[in-house]
Amino acid sequence: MYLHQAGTFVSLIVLITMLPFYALAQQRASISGYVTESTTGETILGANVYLKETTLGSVTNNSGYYIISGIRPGNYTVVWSFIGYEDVQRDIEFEPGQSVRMDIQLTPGDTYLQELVVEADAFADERQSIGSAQVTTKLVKQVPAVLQADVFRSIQLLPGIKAASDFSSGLYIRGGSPDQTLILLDRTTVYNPTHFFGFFSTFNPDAIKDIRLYKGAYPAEYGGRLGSVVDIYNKDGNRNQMAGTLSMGLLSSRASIEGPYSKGSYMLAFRRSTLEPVLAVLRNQVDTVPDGFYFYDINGKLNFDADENNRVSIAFYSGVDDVKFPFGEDLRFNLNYGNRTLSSTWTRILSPRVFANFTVTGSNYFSTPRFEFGGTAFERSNTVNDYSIKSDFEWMPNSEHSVRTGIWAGNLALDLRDRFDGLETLNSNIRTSYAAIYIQDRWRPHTRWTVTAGLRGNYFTRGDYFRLDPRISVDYQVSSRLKLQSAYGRYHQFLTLITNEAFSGFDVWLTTADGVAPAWGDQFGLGLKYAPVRNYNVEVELYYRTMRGLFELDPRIPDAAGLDYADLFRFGTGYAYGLEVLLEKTTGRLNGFIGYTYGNTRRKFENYNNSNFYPPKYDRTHDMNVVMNYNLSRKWMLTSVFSYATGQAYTEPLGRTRIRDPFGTLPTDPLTVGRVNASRLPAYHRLDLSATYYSTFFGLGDSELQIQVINAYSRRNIWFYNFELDENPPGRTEVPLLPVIPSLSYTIYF
Amino acid sequence: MLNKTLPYLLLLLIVIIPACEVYKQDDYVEQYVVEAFITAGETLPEVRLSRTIPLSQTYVFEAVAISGADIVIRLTGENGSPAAEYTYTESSLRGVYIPDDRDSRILSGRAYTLEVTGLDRPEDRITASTIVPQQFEIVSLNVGETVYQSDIQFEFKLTRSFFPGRQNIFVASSTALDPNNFPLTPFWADRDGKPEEYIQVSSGLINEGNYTVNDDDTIDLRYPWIGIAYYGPNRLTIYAVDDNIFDYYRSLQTQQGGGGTISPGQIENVLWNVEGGIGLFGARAGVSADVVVNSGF
Repeated sequence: MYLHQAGTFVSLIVLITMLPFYALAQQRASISGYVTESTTGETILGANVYLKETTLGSVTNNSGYYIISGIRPGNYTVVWSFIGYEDVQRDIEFEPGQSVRMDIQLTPGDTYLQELVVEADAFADERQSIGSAQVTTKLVKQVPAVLQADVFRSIQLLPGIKAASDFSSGLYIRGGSPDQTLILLDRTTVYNPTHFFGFFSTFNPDAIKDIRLYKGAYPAEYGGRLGSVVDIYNKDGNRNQMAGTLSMGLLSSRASIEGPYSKGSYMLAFRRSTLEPVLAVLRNQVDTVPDGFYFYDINGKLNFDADENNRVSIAFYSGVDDVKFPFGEDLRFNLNYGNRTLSSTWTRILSPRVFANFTVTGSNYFSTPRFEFGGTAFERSNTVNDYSIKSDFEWMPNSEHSVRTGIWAGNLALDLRDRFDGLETLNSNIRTSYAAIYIQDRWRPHTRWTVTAGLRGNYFTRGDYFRLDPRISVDYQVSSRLKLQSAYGRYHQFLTLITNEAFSGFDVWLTTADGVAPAWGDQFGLGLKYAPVRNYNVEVELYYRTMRGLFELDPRIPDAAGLDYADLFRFGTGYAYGLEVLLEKTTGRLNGFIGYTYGNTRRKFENYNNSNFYPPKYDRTHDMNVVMNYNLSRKWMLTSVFSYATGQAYTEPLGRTRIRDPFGTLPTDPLTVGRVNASRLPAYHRLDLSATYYSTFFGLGDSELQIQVINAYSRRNIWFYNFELDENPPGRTEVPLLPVIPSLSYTIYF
Repeated sequence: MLNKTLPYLLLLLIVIIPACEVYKQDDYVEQYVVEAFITAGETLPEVRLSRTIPLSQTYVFEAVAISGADIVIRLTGENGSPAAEYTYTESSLRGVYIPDDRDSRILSGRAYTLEVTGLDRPEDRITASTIVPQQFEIVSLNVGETVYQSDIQFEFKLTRSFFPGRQNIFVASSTALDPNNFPLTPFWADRDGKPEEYIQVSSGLINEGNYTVNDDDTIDLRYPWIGIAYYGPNRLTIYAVDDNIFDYYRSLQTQQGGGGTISPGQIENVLWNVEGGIGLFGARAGVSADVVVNSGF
């Protein structure tokens, strides 16, 4: 019922918005096409296209396609550009009503001077939208990382994004918990994007083409999460020649292959841990070393270029972590968890001004832990299955408007089954459908002004919730070097995640229901983008966001059996605000960026902390990352990452007592505590270094030798304090984060 | 113009914004601690009275025990007024109070209140109240003796208890009856503590929803092997607990056991359900059976 009303509503808006432009569009010309990389044929997302003599321009979309319409007849020089690539210019004469199709290949520039981080520079575009950022796989591979290059670890370096600890790749964006970030891989939701129980993310940098991040106030085409979006696209595969990589690290190795075939391209990337030798050595020296542990993942993509207007792709991902752990005599733990995704996208150019995507997605997350202690087994089977269809349309009727609309609908099945001591103790089977429809217009009423307004309707069948999310952003180009931005958006979230920052292998998703309404919040942002001189960028953003109707598992529920669904949760509110500053030097022998965040986030739950606001553990007032990249020569490159952050919040135990245990021999020693998370650990800081040597592998291909040192000056950052309550008085020990860790990897490109 | 003033605006923002938020750690405050557990069908329990200490100090009960207090436990009548009042006298042990009435039994399904006065200041007063879960019975126990971790586990058929406003919550507890002559089971033997620390062990809180309710309104409860620490003769007891024990145990587990959604090092508060102090005034109803656990070797 609600969905039908929403559909009608959106259709009317589309009709009203579009009609006035139709007649005008007949007189003007347009140009459209794909922008690809010349060496690989990969589409380039976010490339700039503009007419030199005018203010007309556009940017390639998520499929690498651009449309510029509303061009007055005449001769123009069209420029295609993307940072790190050489510009292409063509002189084109546009006839009245003419639609020019121009697919362009861009050639990479001198890699010696290439940038570390890509941000679209010349043209106002989505990638310069407030709250958005883009991370290149080049950055991901260059920054020092424990075990292996990691997408989320790299994202954590950006302002506004925090890590819970050295051991967690979870994204805490602008005061939001990880479940407030929508993670998409080739348009498919990924429900547990972790390997190694959260130590790093599932995304293999060899397989990834583009990482687009919306830290907040994200546009209407996305929804379902209160905070932010990470939209990741796998490579299409090299359309020109067969190529591949082979990378060997001390603890994991990767291989990938890609190439063309008669009607398109393919890509296959494989990654597996190689921890077995390390574990074998440790097993002889340390207790409680896993009997076995491995993880692997496979990414693949097949593209079928039917004709110049139709492309079809099939992408998949499969990843597994498996551990067998004997904690002691008669105490064992096994866990197998992972994700599988499958998506197929049909990209169709309906007309020179209308571009469409139709996608079918499937996402599966599974986790099957088993504990056996003292002959008593606890077993869990936890799965999430999400099947959806979505379609997105882009229409550029003239130079002032760019309209996007789309739908996304699917079925979600969450199954959770527990067995204790051979008996089934929990059997939860949640079935729900969801649907969303949006429309968004990017309007340039003046060369200096850009207004992006959108509306998204969300419907969730479990609990029968329909929610409307208005979004708007306004950009004002003060000068060619300075842009001011503002944005507002409302967001709803129908899911919540039961997780632990130290271990993601048990993650369980739950949904809204009767009595458990969706969480919602408003986001406000003010931004400034300033380029004082060429190749230097300054970005400043202020944000404020609310979180209302938060529902999360009540941590004090020891046993869910027999409880009503709504009794599982505690309900609360929250807010976050902050200031982010990014100073960036994009090119040159020395390049990199400095990101600083001043941030505050607070939560409040009834009957917790005397129902007062408190900072969550991951709240950090000051957070700074300095990423520097120095091209020592054409053979050597040095990279450093320095991080500093306010110590994490923790709750200080103030006093104690002793109470006999009515069911045990030993007494209990409860602590009395003060305000929740009112104390702070010492400040966190760490320096990571990396040196990369570029060479060739016996003439067969290029190679990279990477030498890294994590925590170079061996700062003993504290993860948490552990209180030894079996001592009298209790001792306090510091549980440290990562020590100094050297690592070595060798990669061959063929 | 804007380009020139921009750096100053940014600096101003950075300086002003941090001044907005103040959330400081509070100081330690000494509190009274009261401790008593009443059990359906049993006599009135002793009451222990003490104070908290700062975390850094060594805990010795005698050093923090409170002497000279006035303690009374009241049975609440049907209309809410006291139906009986039981006064306490301090024993020879400082801070440990014993009932003057040594014969009266705790009634299941009834409400009791505890009141402590005569403390440091005249206005100081500790109060707590509870409801005793309805007494229940063992209908049958499948075997009296079995081999540890064999296919045959101890299985109780129980009548149902009752607690107002929620499902029954149980704690299964075993007490070794001859720990000097029988060894620990492997799981418990592998732990760091001394063997005598495991003479009585328990399961933690178990919701009745884990068990099937039979047509005759009985439930079948399988005793988990993990809840048996010693071979040989053991007393297995199934308790139904009140809200005070339920809140205390679940919050203590969250504070000290962590796990679940609790981050490492995160220390949660304990739910006390005591006014004017902290502690535990808990109520329970239980049934027991003596069994023998053989090692199988």
